[in-house]
Amino acid sequence: MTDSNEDKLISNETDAQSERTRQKINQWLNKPMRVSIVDGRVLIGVLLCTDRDQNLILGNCNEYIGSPSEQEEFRALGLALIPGQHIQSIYIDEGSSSTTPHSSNPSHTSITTTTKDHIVDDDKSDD
Amino acid sequence: MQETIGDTTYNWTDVTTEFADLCRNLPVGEVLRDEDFTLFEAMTALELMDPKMDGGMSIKNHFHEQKHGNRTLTLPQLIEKKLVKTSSLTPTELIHLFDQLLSTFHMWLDGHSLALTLYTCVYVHDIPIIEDYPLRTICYTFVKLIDYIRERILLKAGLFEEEDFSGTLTYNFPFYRDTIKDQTCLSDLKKCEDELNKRLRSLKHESELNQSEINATQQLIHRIRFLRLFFGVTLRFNEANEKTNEQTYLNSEEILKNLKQIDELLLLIRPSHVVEDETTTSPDNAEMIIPISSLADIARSFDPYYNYRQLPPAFNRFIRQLILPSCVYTFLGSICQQLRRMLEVNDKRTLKQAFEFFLEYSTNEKPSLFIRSLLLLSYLPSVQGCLLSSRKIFGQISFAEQVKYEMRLFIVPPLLTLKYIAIDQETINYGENFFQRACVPFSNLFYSLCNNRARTREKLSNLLDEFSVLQDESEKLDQWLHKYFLQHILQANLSTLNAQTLLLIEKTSYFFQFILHWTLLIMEYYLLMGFDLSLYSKRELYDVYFYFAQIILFTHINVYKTSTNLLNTTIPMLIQTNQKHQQISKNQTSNIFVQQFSSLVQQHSNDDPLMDSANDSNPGQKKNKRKNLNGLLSTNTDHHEQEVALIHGHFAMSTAMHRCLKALELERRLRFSSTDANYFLRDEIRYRHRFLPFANLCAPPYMPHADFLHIQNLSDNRYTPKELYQDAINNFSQAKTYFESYLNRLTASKQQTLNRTFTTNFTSLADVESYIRIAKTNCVVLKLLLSGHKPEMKIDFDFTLHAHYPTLKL
Repeated sequence: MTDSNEDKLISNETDAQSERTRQKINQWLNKPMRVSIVDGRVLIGVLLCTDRDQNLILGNCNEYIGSPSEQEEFRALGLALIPGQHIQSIYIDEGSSSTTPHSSNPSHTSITTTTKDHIVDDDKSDD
Repeated sequence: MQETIGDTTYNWTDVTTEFADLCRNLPVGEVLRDEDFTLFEAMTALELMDPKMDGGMSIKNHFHEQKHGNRTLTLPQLIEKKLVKTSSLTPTELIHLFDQLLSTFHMWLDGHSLALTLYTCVYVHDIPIIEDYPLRTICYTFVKLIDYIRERILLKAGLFEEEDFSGTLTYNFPFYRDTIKDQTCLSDLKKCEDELNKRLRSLKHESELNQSEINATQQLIHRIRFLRLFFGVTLRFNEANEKTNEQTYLNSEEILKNLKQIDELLLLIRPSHVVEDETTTSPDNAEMIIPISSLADIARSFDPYYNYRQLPPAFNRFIRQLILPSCVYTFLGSICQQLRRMLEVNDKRTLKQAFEFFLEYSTNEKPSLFIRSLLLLSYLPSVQGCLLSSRKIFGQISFAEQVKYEMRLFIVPPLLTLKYIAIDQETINYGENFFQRACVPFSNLFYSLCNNRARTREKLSNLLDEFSVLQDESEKLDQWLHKYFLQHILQANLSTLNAQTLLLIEKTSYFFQFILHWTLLIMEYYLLMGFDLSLYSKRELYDVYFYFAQIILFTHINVYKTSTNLLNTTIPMLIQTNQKHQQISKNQTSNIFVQQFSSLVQQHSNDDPLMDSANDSNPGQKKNKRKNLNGLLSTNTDHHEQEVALIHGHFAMSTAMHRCLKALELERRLRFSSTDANYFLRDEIRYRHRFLPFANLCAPPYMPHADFLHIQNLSDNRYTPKELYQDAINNFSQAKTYFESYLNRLTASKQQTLNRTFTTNFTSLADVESYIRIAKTNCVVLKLLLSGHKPEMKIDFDFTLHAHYPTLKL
């Protein structure tokens, strides 16, 4: 599917600018991202997917209220979609490689296992 | 920017504008994604800021407060900051807390999560910290009450659906199982009550009477007493198998006594009503007004967001405003009412009566999960690790025995009635094996009936599979017994027996008829439930009524005929044989099957068709019972009289329905269009779908759609609409007659039915009354149609009078 999509897009869209965009964003994929949204929440997770409207899908995402470093408490969301219109600021940790636990290869299996981890986390926070 | 979260340190780079600019370069519709990430997975993402999906959004205000440092504080923190008090609470404060806790309890019973109900109270998270004795006891009791209901009633009964009851999740909340016992709560409550009573007395003797405090203390006493009784009642429902796994009958007298006391208390309790304005007074003094100012010290005792972080992200986080205490007390009153009605199950001594009661109860009371679970546990108390099928009815009677007894009542098979025959081991094994097998579907039937209605219907369709297996088994057993009994009776060489009766006994498939009878009952209820749940479309009505009448009810009428015939002709013979053998064998019952349920027979000798012989040893009783017996035997049609009348009524009703549906279709008076190209195809699929549960049964045999069309041609299609109308009218008026005669008999024989439900099979008294009205109305409408009234007029159906049969609307 990816190939056919790309073929089509390349044939239709010759603009070099959008090609650069793709390259740049592809570098950022799987990197930890810190997104603040308009109501004051901060979401931290790995970038999996985006589009023209800046809609983001973050994997292994945690929700913090206010500054994450000041708080131990968070809500584990797992896979989260953030509509572009609600985004206030975006930070990315480019240095982080995909070997760190947060940005491990978010293939289907890893997402499901990470969600399972969240469940475990949840259980722990119950104590 | 560096940030350390937990163990991970991030080097953040602000890319807000860069990212936005980059994205803008992307063409519309293109999605950039990791190659392992599929859009299918994206579907499972939680959408933030979506009011339905994002629970975090609904508490926006909450985290704004958190941002300003007003974080959710734990109970010790609250105490430290002197935000709640834990000692010397005033009666008013206690009353408020009590009512709030009760309200959360009500919500929990309603299916809400514990984290959003009881455990929003900060006190229950750490009860031992509380110094105030009454408050501590109240908190403990509520926790224990919920724990008990959850663990020992709801989970044990296992009737809840995941989507309608999240109350079983515990989130590791403390339940103090090791420190506090249920009984301790009861005695502590009693102590509280006594102490408060003392305080009340001393208050009354003070020189300056503080009326409001006296009132509050009195109200508090009522509440604590109420809680004690309610908890006591709940405990009692499972009491018997608490100690030694020994099960006893429900102590319904004791429970009834307690329920009565609760009722009296509920009249005395004035629900609290918190007001902001102190001058407000309750108009009729029905409510206890608590000004909000007097609750300042405990203002933070409830925090709806206390457990917020513990809930899974996609959890329904809609936090309902706590229900007003006045509503809660009304609700509890109705629960007591339902419990009282539920105890009537104790009088239901046969499976059929119990079946009727379960149906009637679920229709009339619309019981909640809690009550349904209690009903199941009262009828079939569970022991740890005990299969449903090996549970005993009321903890006393095993299903195998009850099924035997039921069968004896229904069709008097010689195997279960002849007292003094010797049965060889093989036959005993054969028979016993059958009854053991029968336990499973029969116990499942009662389990199914306790589920919610949609689930009951689904379970019934599964149950029909089990019954089809049982039908096979019963056929085999019958074949075996035919040979056996013929031989035996011939050996006995009874001159008094007439050949005809013998032939009848020989020809009858007792076991098969009995299982068929129950199969049909389930099928009938299953189809009618489809009406109750309004599942059928207008187009299907014809199929459903046709199948209901011509296959199911028709077979059932025959089963009843067989049974009645057997009861009338063979009972005298069976009694005679028993008497004859009695002298020979000196009262030693040798039939092992009869021995097994002799206690059952003795307990309700009134119902027993063979009670003549059962009473021989007890001449004192004989006189009284004779009357009944004579009543039973004198009129030949007396057996199953009510059931037969109803079945005939249903038969006539549904025949009339499908006749007039056909006529309306022929005259194009129906509102749906039948011009659809796929009409037949879709009809067939729908037909198969509706009657699929019946497909595996060997009797009544499933009618495939092709046969159905064929028979439909033979029965309805060859008539003109006028003939069909006329026939429908005849059938409606016949149905009316049947139903009316049922009503008359029921009212005439009220004494005999004292112990019964007013439901016969699946039809209650109220149903019958509506059926009669429907039949009357439809007769009138059909007469108009017959006379050619407004030929262009479309006819619509109105199910408001009763879900089972519509009235025709001009």
